[in-house]
Amino acid sequence: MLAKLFKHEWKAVSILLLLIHGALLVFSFPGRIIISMASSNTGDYVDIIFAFYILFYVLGIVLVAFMTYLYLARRFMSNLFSDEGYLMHTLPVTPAQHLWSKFFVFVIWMIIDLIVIGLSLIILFLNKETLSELQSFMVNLWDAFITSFNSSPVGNVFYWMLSCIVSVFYSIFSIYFSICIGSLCKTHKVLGSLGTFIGIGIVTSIISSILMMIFQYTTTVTSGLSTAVTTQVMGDAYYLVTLVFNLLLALGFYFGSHYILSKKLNLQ
Amino acid sequence: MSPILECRNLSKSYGNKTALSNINLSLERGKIVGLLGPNGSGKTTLIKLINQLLVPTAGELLIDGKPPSVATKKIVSYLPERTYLNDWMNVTDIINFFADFYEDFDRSRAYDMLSSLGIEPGDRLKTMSKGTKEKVQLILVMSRRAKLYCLDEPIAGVDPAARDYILSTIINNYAEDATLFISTHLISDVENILDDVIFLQNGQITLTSSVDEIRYKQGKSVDGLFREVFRC
Repeated sequence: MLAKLFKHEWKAVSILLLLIHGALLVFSFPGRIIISMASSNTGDYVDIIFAFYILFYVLGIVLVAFMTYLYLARRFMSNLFSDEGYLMHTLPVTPAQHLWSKFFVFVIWMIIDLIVIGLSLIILFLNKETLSELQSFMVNLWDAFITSFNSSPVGNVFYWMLSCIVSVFYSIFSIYFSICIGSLCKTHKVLGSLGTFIGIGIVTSIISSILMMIFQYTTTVTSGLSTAVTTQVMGDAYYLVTLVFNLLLALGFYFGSHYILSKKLNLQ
Repeated sequence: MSPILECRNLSKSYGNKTALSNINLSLERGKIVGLLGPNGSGKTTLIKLINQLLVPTAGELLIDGKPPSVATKKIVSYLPERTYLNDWMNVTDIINFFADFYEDFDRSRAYDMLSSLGIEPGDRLKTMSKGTKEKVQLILVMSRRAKLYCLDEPIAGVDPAARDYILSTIINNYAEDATLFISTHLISDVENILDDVIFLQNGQITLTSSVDEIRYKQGKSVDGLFREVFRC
């Protein structure tokens, strides 16, 4: 049943999302021409077009990413808590299957979103010069990545992979949990969901700040040739505690959503 | 044979407001039962409880001997009082959806009923009137070979001419051992198809009787008795 739910969920959301992501890719092609024109001949006319293009392009990327999240969150709300809920909750499927089918579709669209934005940037900017700059940037990024965690490179890779997975769970289930809490309100369910989402954000950032203060310590490092600098760094324990904290919250959001869907359903 | 639906001391409250109070009920198989009561009497609440859209505050509800669950949703076909279909779908999409999730869904029966109503499978729900959408929904619900059909106000939103078609669709499309549980306040329209009636008032059952008993023993029509009992 999970596969069937996934299939229908995918079909329901993908038409619009494919259209907006396709539009972003198409919009990238004229940008490449504009950029090559701007780099080969300078003039007021070309510069103005270039400036406007970049402005709309950045707005477009932000809008596409934001719309993807908003659309999938809205879909969760309307599919399970509006009139459509009368059909969805009387299907012979469990609340867990509802949650996971929507979660997997969300994850896939998050990945597609990143790929499309990356592809669009490649269409716009990739040439021989930027390719070599990109390569050196990737090398630097990798160096920073494997040294950011104090113990070992293997530990780093493992930590960041785990952290990435946990943050995907955390971010999607925090949205679902907020909507489930909002559905319990008698009126203003959207406002209730939004309030819960903001509330979760505020509380978790306060707790993270406290954790940072606890695990932060002062050390002296040598940077460049011989300059000794005193700096605040985070111990390994901070990263591990943050990871466990986020994992526990993600689990709390999942089980909270599951509880509301199975025991506190409140369709008007 | 065990009853298809059993309620034991079933209650449901919304905060301080009691919607159903201490309901005891048993529905036999193979009957058409009318759940009759004025607006706000608790009819929809009871039907939502059967379909696990609500959880009881107290008491027990059993469908084919089991509490509401995935297993009971496989044998209960539910028509809510509102339109739950996605506007972007066409009729074929929604038939495929039902066929995917309900093993007892009969496609050919659905297409036969659609053609007799002149509804094309390619028609989009967005272009349909509210009444046509309700007919499509009824066709979907009655195309299942379920053991219990719960129809919440199936004729309230359609014109009187369509009511006859809907009622004949209901009668002609359920198996003899299946039970039809119809909630309505339009008694005179459904009276002729009912075997039994349950009167519900302020969340409590005030009468459980067969239609024949009302007609022959009390010498009244169900509609007449309803008007007498629920006089304002």
